[in-house]
Amino acid sequence: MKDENYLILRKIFFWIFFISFIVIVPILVFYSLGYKFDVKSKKISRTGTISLKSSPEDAKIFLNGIKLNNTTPDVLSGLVPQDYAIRLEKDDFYPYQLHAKLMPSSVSEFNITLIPKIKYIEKLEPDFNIYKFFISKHFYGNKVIAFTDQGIYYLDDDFKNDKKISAQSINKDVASNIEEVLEGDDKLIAWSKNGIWIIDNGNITLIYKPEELIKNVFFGLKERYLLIQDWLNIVALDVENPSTYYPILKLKDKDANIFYDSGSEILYIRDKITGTETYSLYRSKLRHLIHERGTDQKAP
Amino acid sequence: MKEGQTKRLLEILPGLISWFIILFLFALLFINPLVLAVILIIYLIYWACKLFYMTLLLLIAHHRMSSSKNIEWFERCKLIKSDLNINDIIHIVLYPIYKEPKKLLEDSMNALKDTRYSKDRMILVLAGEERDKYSHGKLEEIKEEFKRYFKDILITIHPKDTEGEIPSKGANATYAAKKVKDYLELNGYDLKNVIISTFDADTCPDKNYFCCLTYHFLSNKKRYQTSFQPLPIYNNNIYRVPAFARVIEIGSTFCQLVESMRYEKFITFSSHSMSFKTLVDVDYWPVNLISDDSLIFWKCFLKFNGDYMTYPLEVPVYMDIAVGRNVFHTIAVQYKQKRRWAWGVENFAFIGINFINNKNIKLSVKIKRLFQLLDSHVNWATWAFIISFIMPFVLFWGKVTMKNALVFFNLSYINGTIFNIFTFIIILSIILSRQFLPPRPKDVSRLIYITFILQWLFVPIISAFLGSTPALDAQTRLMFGNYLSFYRTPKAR
Repeated sequence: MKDENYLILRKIFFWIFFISFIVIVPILVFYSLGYKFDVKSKKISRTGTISLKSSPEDAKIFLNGIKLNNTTPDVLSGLVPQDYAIRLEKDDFYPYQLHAKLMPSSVSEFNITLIPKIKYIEKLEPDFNIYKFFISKHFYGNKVIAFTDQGIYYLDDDFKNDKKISAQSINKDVASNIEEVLEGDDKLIAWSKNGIWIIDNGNITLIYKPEELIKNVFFGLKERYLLIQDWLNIVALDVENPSTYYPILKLKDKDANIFYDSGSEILYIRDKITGTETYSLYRSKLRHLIHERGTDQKAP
Repeated sequence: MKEGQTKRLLEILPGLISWFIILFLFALLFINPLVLAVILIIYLIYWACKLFYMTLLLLIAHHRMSSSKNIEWFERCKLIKSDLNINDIIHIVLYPIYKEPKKLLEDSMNALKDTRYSKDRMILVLAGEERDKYSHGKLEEIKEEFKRYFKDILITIHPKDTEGEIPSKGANATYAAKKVKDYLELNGYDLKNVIISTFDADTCPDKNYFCCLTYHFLSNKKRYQTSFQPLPIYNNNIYRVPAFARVIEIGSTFCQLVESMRYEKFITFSSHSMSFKTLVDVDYWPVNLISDDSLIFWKCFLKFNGDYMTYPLEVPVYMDIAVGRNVFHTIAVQYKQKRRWAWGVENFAFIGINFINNKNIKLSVKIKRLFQLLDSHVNWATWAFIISFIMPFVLFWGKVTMKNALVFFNLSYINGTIFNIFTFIIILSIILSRQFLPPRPKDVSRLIYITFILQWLFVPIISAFLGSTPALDAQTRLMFGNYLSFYRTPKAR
């Protein structure tokens, strides 16, 4: 090839790359800033990007229920800012579901570890962020009560048939401190040292706030009352009318404790006699204590 | 403004621009990171285009060189229709020598005597330095050893501490060339028919070098307005030097290959050839500046009012990779050599001043040439800082302060793409570099070829630390008037 031809070739390449640079720069800069030209509406709109990585890779991606052609890792760019439900699926791994709230000119990055289906381990089907869970024993089988970021769920102990008890979710910090969940007729009572909540018809209501610290809570008189050991005070709260509660007993020692036998409805009390170091055991019919209750007080 | 002040301003300008770019980008990181991210995206696109473009030029240049391998240049010289005849041509081969070991010089002389051109048309000039007290004896021994192969061997000893000169290769070469002029005139040679090749002491010309050079000299209608530049391939000692030094010099060879395709900005570098008459007309190489190899081009360019070019020869010369006593000394040697090359930025002030004084060169040509020079030196001094330091810092800073900003995510994405392109180019470089390897010495194990591949892992480190630093160092010294003295690269095999 003659030198002139090399020169022509070089000039062609130069102009190709020069024009490429001039063309690519504005497109890529606008794209990088999240701007997108919509051909249909002939308008420029701001978009966002979702970056999905998974371990292992090559998981199928479902965006708002629609399967995408690509698998992970993938960058979903030019998306309209809104909430997205994303689901990742891969054979022999549990599916993973997440929610992304996409803002304009922003990126939401997810790096998800898929959990393999191992013979002896099963994963709860819905991908909830579980704050706390309890096993509830029934004669027809155990139930799992799960406090999650998506609300409170009931499900069978084989992790099937999940039922949303409440769409409301208890704050993560509060939920993780729940000591116990009591099951009444069509309602649940959850308590922690700092409060008692009733979950009824999908609503979560704080029904008791302790004067000091709650040490113990149990049903009394066939789930009609809630007996609360609030430090040294024993109070009864009418479950049907939870806006009031009645002080029924005052313990003398901070280490005193109580036990309630729901069959005989007898309350056992271990407490000190004033002026001695001896703990004695007392008992009383709960019904009598409630009938001789103190002044009604307003619940918080 | 006085000429001295203008010169200082032009000396300050490249360094000032380079430092401004680096510091401005760092400052922008704290003032407006989003704007910085956009600037860096544009810069990366520019680099992507440039990398592709340069890779294509590399391939074209490589094709041009390899397709010329089988050309019978000597036959062509005889067949060419020209106002000059091959038998009219005399070659002067000038070796400026300072403290190079005798063995190295002997190797160069052997390569020279093995070239295909008629040695009875070749005069060898061994230009020694008075500062090197062993110079004269050593050169006499070489003359005695090789005089039977050449038409003549001249020895010149450049006196030390000459007024108006700095100790440099240019001063030595100029002194020798003046002596050669006297010799040629005394022996009745027409200077128009003389081609001078000035070679570094380690230069071993390819067997076809002088045939190829003569052919282009004869065939070129503007032969007195053309310098002839061979491709310098740094491979004489490639089997004996540390891996990182090999990578650097293969990079230098590739850069020169790419430059050889940019005819309109191609200038002389290191070993080169030109008409002796033109050399005399422009008053030889500069004696008070370091970068004599490129300045001789600019002197000619000014003399011919811009109508002067450097022609890239298809045939290479082989040179040494700069190497020190050990790895650390080699790093220092490489750094100083690259800084000396980068000192070519002094050309900017030189041509700037001379462009002002020359009214015959078109303003557009002056602006274009000055911009090309400024652009290449500023780019050299800044690219590695931007790519290797500012870019990762910006990506880190973006992750910390603006985690969800799309522009930083995309910057990271584009940056990753550039690195993928770079990896592709490195693979291409591995393949191309294989063709520049000389035969393996018998005492070197075959296993060395493994290091010839692994050596490319050094590229990111070399780019980061030797990519721009020598150039910025040179520009900063020039900015503050801390002029560089000539650094003689140690040669060892």
